Amino acid sequence: MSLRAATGAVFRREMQLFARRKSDWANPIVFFLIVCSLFPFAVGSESEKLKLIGIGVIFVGALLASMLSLPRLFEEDARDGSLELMLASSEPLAVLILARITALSLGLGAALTVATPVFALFYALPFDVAGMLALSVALAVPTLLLIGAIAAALLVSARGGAILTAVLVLPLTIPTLIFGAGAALRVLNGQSPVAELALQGAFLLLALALCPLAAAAALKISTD
Amino acid sequence: MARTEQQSNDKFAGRWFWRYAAPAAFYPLAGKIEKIGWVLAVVLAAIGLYMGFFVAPTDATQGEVYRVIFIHVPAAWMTMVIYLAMAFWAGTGLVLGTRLSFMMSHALAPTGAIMAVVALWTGSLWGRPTWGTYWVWDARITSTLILFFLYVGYMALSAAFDDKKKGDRASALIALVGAINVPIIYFSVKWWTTLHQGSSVRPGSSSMATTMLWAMLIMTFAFWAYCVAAAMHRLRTQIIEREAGAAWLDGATK
Amino acid sequence: MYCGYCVGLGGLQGARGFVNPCSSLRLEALAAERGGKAVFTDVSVNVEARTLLRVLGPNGAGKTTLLRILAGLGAPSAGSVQWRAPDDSERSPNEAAMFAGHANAMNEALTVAENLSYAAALAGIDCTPMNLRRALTQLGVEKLINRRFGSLSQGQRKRASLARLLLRAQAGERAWLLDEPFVALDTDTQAQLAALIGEELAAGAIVVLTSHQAVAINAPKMQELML
Repeated sequence: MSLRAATGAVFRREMQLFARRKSDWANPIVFFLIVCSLFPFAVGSESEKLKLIGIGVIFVGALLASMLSLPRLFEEDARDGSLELMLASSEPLAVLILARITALSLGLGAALTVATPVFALFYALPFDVAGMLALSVALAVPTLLLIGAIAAALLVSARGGAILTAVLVLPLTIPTLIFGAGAALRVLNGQSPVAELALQGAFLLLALALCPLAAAAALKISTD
Repeated sequence: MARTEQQSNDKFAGRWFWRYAAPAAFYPLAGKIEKIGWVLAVVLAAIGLYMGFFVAPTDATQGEVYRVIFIHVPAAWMTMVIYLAMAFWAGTGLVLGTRLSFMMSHALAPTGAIMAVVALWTGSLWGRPTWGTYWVWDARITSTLILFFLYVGYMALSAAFDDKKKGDRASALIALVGAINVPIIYFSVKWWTTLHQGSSVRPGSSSMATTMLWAMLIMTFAFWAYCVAAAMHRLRTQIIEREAGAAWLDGATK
Repeated sequence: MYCGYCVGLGGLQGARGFVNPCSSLRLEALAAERGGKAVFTDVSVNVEARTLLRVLGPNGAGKTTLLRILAGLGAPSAGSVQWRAPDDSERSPNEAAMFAGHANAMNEALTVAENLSYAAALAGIDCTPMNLRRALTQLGVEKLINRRFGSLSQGQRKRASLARLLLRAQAGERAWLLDEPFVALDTDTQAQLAALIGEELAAGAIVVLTSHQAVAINAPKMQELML
């Protein structure tokens, strides 16, 4: 009973914060938008060229945008002291963290997924590719946040913050990047994206199983 | 379950390797290993390089350029082996809480990173005349680059904590996370390269002369010896740094 | 498993009314270190119900570290902490005690009620709206219940966050671990908090307190621990 109450409370609080502070989802979207609009200036505006880089740019943009949201997971709570409420709880920390990441994934994931096909128009991508890209982003955001949670937990009490988070997390996200963008590439080439989607699903399941445990251990290490 | 743990503890108790888990006991041993390592590294490298550069025949297809593999291949092997060793000691440290294990991980990391750089550097020197380009997004090269990132992340994280103990445990955790990810990354990158480009020319596809093999083998042992010596050297420096003020140290370093 | 356990506990509470989960606290040869250096060593003390334990010592003596260990937020480097129920069964720190540190543990974007019910849920307390209102009333801030925490003044924030300690269903149900609770409080609030601590002690709780301020507390039993 109380496990359900505690996870429910964690989930609800994250959703309340999302509803209360528009900047939590608006800033990542704006950042995403700006990143996506920078590239045409650098590579030129011919639609053939843009079509080639579009998928990659959008996917990396979504990846970076979700990374920017990582401090929300623990750092903020560590500053105002409410992290201790979670740490002191008798309920398993990994489950509470999972509830939290789930809520953040739903909020941020929905925002980025909705934005993705719109930004795909910048790059002259056909609708079916844009749709697949949106699906890929929807699958990737939870995986990225799960992996990122480990780094975010470790860095609660360390110097270096955002840059170090990027150094730790980005190399680990390469498989997700490969298959996430790969699925959309397949559709662009008129092939079936099933294998890439299945692998992305597998990564998500693996991350779901391992990352909350690792993040809980990380949080205990960094706050001890 | 508890009983078997108890038994295994009894089994280990009094064994020599438990004694050496204490920095004080391991410090002099590390010194000896370091010395042997340096000697072996210099001797073997001299023999191996001589054989590789002067005795081994010129490659029929690649000419003289191929000789860089006597450095490139051992370095590429070492960077992978060291990451595994580092993750192993990190895991040992987290489970057993032994200080020396964490120090061992820290001592290995820079050598592993250097090996990755050496492998990438020599690889690109070889690639220019052979493939006509310094860099190719080949699965093995890319994985080595990512492995280098993981080393950098590990070192940066352990330096980011004022509290050394926290830094030890935090970086150990990230080393383990990395170790789980390395195979996933490797196979993903492999898939990705086959998806994007045709198979590229790979070194070692032609049959190798016996002298080449010998030279390669000897160079590999030379690299092992160097890495062990370098790690032991760094380990000793760390022991001195961390155990500063301990009574045994004054006696050992005088 | 969790559900069965908690339903069982709830049933017990319903049947007999009041179960005090913390009737004794025992520290045995406790030691802690920070950054590899010992902060304190060999701290042993027995604390019974209705006792105020004042933790004294200069800055850096490890008062906060000790309180965090008691709350289960940190691990000791040696020794043990035992919270026991009246039937002598052991309790986890979170079941036995509530910790209030320097920070308010309230998110500025959420309302007082939202913050407090979150804290209650994580502490395993079934917090009814009535409990919540009562707790805020005891501190004289019931009007702030639906205000955003970020919009409150410093004094109001302190009071609203102290209400967390009063969310338990019964007075004396949990031990309080208070780290410098009187800092940044005006004299009225200090007196009010001292009175609340006194009531809690009288109801059977253990209160562990670090404080540099000499605030008079009416305690049935008092112990001091010098670090």
